[in-house]
Amino acid sequence: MQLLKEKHIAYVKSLDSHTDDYEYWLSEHLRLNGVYWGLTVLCILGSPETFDKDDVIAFVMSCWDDKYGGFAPFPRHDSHLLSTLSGLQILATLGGLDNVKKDQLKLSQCLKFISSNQLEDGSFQGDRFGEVDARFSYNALSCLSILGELTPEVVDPAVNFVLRCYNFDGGFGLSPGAESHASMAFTCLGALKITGKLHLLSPEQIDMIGWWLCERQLPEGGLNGRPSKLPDVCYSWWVLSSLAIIGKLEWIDYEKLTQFILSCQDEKRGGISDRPNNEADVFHTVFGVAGLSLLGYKDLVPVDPTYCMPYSITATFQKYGLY
Amino acid sequence: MTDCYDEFNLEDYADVEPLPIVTGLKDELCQIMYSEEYKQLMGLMRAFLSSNELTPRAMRLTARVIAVAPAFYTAWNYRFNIVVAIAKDRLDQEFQWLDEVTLNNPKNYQIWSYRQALVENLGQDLTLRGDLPIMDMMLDDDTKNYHVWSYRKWAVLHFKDFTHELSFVDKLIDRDVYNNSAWNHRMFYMKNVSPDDRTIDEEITYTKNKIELVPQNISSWNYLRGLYDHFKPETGHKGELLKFAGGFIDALDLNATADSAESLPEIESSYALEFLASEYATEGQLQRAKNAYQCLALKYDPIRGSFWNYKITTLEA
Ligand SMILES: [Zn+2]
Repeated sequence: MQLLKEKHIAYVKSLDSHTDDYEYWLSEHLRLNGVYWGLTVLCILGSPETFDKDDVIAFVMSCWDDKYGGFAPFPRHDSHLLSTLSGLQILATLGGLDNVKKDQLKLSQCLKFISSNQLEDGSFQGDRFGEVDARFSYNALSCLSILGELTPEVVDPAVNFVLRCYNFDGGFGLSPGAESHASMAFTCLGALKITGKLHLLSPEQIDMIGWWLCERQLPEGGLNGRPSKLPDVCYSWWVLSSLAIIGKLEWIDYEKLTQFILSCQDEKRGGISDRPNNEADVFHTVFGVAGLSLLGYKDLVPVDPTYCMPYSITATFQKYGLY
Repeated sequence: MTDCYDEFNLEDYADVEPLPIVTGLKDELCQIMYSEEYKQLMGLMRAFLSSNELTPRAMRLTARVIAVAPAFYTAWNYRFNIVVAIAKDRLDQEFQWLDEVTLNNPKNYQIWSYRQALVENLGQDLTLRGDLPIMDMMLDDDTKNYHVWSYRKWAVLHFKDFTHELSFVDKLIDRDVYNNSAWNHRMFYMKNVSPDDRTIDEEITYTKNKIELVPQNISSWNYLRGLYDHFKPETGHKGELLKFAGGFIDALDLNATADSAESLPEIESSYALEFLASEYATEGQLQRAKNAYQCLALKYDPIRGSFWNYKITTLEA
């Protein structure tokens, strides 16, 4: 089976015109994330101009939270680290970062929003209501990296916390002691990579981590997120990007995983689902396509495993620390 | 009809002008045809969020909005502010309401961070007992629910009450010995209660029994190795444990070099073989370690062939 590029482009395009769809409006709380996922699919498929750039930037800016800084997923919602990262990723991708970077008030509000969510132990809460999750550490560090504003005051305690999420089995959990989960491997390794701190993991730990990650591949080819769970296309991204970050991508059976991802395509309407024959969504579409890009599938734009954005964009980010 | 926990009734909001959505996009949503009730609710919600009214009717509105769109975290945040302002002496009722939302939305995770916010900020007089029924019920229904397990760890640490954890985990492992979440929680428990040597030895026996029951189970093997690494780092995995692992690969001769999958016998556990390989590697029995990795690559775990071949190159270095 082949990658149905044109179908997927049409699918992402159609999402934007589904505004009369009830489900679409129920996902307001993920809208900015959804725009980032859709845009990134289009970039990887080599069709970044599908959406009107100015429209998208205007929408992103309409999600700005005037009171607390940062981006909400939708106008008038509260800002959150998850949607703030999506907002900055979209702006960076479309060349609109100056809307924040060159606006002194917005920039300082944004930096304050991010650093005010860092807790004493170095961890981050997603917003002022206190939910802590290693994902938010990644979000915060990635935001600061995109803005070129990483500092040791934020980075050092943040890295300490991330390292505490490493588990006895070689995986990473959402918080110290929480069960290892593939998405947490990505957020923790990504956080270490962004801050130039990967060397804090010993070679033995890297081998353990690599084993835990490639252990996620099931005989049928797909990857699961935890032992004894079903395979799911989004883990193609969480696991592959993690392996790519530690330079061990070849520990996966490329051929079998490629076939698994391709078998999850909706051949009629485009889009990719979590497992064969399920309903496609933009989340699994971006992580399926980004996974294929990491696997070197032909004619795809190379994607940076640390940021889940095209290399051509992330190459412009200011580097922090040692690599 | 003025109480926080009464039914939602649109008539209570007759004086409020619903706020439209402003997105900055052209054709400002003129063609949107989503459900009439949803439109009305969200319009009201935006109006309340912007006026920040902290009243019983605002609280009833959040309940209704959360029932329709449980992942709308801004509504949860707003509700939290209202509870702090006008209902913090009614936590019992708030938890009752929350339990019901939880049961209706097992995959949602806002419910758990909301619960945590309530307990952390307002729950000075609470104990873990209050949380147990809903946590047990949710994990009984979905034994690997990541967010419930995470909340459970947080709550156990917050209340410093580990008394229910071991028996709970026992029960779940009895039900499904492959449940990695339960094994992980077991490790969390052990690391937090500072067990004495006898307890650790009993724990090792327990784990071995579970491995004998189902030898091809990565969760129990990881746990066994984790116990040794954490509680008995000085003894390593030697002697008796090598014999234990060897029992699952009886038919395999690790002194011989394998050249094809067909020539290799069936074994009971590839994890036992991997365990032996890494032990031989640390002990300097390099040829045996190499043979073991070779067998994994050829027959017992071929999908990870390049990983096992990498392990062989580290032995040759
Ligand atoms: Zn998925």
